[in-house]
Amino acid sequence: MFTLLFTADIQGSELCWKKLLNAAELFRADALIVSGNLMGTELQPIVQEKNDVWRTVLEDDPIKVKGNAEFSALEKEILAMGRYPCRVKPEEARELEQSPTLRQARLKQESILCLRRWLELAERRLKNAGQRLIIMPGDNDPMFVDEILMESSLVEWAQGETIPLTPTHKLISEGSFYRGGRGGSHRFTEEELFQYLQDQVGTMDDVHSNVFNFQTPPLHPDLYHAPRLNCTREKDDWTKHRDFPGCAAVRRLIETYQPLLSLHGGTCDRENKFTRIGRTLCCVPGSGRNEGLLTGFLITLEESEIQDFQPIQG
Amino acid sequence: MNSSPDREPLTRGCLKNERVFSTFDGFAYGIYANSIVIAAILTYSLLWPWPKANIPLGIVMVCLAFVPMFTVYAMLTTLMPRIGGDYVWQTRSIGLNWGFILIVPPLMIGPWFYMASNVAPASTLVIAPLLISLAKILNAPRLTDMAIVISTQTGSWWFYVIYVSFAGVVMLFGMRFYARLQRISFIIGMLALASWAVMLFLTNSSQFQEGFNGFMSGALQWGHHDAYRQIIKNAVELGYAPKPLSETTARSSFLIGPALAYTFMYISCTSLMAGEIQGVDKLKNSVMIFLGGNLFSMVVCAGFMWLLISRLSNEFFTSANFLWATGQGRHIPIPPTTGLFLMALGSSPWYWFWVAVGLNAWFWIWPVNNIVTSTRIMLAMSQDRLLPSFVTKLSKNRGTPVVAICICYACSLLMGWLYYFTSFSRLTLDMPFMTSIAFAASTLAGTLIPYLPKTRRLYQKSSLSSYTILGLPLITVSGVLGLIYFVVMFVLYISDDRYGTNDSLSAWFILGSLALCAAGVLLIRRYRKKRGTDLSNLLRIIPSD
Repeated sequence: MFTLLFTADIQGSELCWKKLLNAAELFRADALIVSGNLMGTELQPIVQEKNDVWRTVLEDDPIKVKGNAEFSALEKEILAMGRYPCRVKPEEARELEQSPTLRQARLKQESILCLRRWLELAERRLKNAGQRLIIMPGDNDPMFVDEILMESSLVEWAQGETIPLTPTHKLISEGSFYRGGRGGSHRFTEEELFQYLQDQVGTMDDVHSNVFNFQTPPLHPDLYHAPRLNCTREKDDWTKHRDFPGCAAVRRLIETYQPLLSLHGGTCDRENKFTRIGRTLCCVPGSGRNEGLLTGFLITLEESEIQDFQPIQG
Repeated sequence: MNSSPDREPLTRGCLKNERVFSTFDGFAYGIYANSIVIAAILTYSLLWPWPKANIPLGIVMVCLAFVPMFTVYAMLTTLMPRIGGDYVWQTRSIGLNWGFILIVPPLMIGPWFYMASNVAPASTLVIAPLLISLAKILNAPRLTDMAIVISTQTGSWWFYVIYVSFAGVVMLFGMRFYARLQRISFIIGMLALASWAVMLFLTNSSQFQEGFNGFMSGALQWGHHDAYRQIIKNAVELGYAPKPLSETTARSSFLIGPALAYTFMYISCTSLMAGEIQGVDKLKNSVMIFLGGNLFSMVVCAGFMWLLISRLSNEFFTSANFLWATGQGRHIPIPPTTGLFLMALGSSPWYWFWVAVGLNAWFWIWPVNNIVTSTRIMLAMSQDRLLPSFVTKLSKNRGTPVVAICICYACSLLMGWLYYFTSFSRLTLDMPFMTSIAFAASTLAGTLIPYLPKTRRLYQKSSLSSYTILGLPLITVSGVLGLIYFVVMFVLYISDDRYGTNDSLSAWFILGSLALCAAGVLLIRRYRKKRGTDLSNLLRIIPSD
């Protein structure tokens, strides 16, 4: 029996990251798989007014804190929301506001610090327990994340790789749908994506007992109810198409190869969703980041089947 | 950081779930769940044991008593706008086991029974008048024969089969179609209600008596042009003591509240499809649905009943229902319902047809919501692995839960057969009691949400935390007040024969259902555990430090 705990779209929430590490222990998972959109995207400047008085605006609410204890609580709250707090003086705050380049640079700095802190915590919690941590960043994660993840002695780098989970199960992951991977400029068409993924999957022996880990979910009504998405569709078109979302290429791949399990992320829906495409169980965890919820799936694998699975909302 | 627009990931944009019901559709759904015309007509006919009750006043009192409960429901819907509403709220706060036990009997299985009890009276109340008036307009006596057949036990059963099939088809077409049908029905129904109110307003008591006497003699050959006085006389001779409105009391009007709950508490069912209604994540929209719906029901029903009773007289209304219910006046050829009284106001078959159309507009979309209720609970439970995953299967084209709908269809037919052909129908009055237990449990869940470790953070992060009374969360204060009224209701249900819920059959049914569900959830958990899944993990508090 092999138990994996799968979650996706943590989007920089430190609260979710800590819960994930605790969940690994609580549920006695053999491996944690974290898929796509690992990092947050927003900087949250906290401006120093006086010696120990700080202010910021959080979701349109002005907040003022005094003293270290209140400041720490505010920082914790901001990190839980998936943003990166940074202490600044008023002049620095003005500069950040006026200069996107400066803001990007500071965001990069803070997110690197945060990611390193996460990985240290993960190493302390998971290494001794022998639990594995498999991470695949998503298209929204900056490229510098790759180097930091690959440096870690604990993290198993999944992007574009085939990782053995057990003697009989392998995990094949692909988080990017741009030519040349993340950083590429050409977005795949459906046909191109199918060919690209098929080239990778085709190299595996016995796909039937293997696990797909693709950021975009397959086209299927059970998986989430939102305007239809397409690999080549521009953002503005999304609102016009109210049938089923997800990627047709991924759906075709699953139908063709019928792996044991297919894991996906990339949803803003809070609810976990799952369905079967043929024999393949497809799981899409929700994203409960805003409420501090860790959403995911606990899946128990036997040699040639899934013994059971369960949505988690902690 | 790569963030240019053309590098947007495929699934970025935080697109929300598609919710096909507008806020107004949710409001109308709640009004239909209450069934402010058809279920109300049936409910009023049960109030004769309280001859001193002022029905319009009783409606106002019970609707005001439900304001705290609906406040909790509105806030819970905004906090957790999920498909399966009550099930989700209860499991996430009072636990998986209790949520299962308190929800399954009334809200998953109960609707199959409600389908039968909602539809059974329809053949005489709604369909027969339509057929009879069409028979007159089209000069087609066969339609009258059909009305007679459909009013028999077998005819009524076959009408039930047709209706359940209609309900299944509507559900399979999807909620967008359902919303459209509901809107059309609502508009026609409201026009009908308004026209009936105008008719009543323009009628005085003696005109009603004359019209009723003429109708009963002419259309039904009963009463010798003296049906009105004869009904009251018969009831008095049989020991009934009807009272005029001027002699009704506030106490009796309060006591009919638990009976009126059979109509006025069901807006709560809207919560089960909270995941499909737009805008409910904003409190003002949830308030419009629950509290607005409650206020609307109160004003429309109390106002209409005041008009009706002031024209009919309270003595006549209660006496007629006494005679029909006790079986001693079976020689009255049809049930003395509001539909009959409205038809008596006019002699034109076109007018009767319009009354029947209005009744049909309030009927046809109403029991369909039993399938909505049951399927949404099934979907939510299946997502949590309490039911097999195939239950969540959605159709490719319309995204409808085909498997869950088919289960409801089959079980409704089975339950209907039991209702029509066995003594199962005796449980009709126990179902609302069971349902009120579920609603009370959700109210309790709402009361506790600001304090429970599992839900505290969710509550504090939401806009609801800014609503307080004397420093206490509004949801908690409302919940406590709501629970007080539920306790009053339960004490009355258990202690007073008049509600029809305190005999041994009722006790066996309610306690037996709860016990069976308790056994059921333990078995399901044991099965899952053997397969390697501990269902406690679903809602376990995962520490974050």
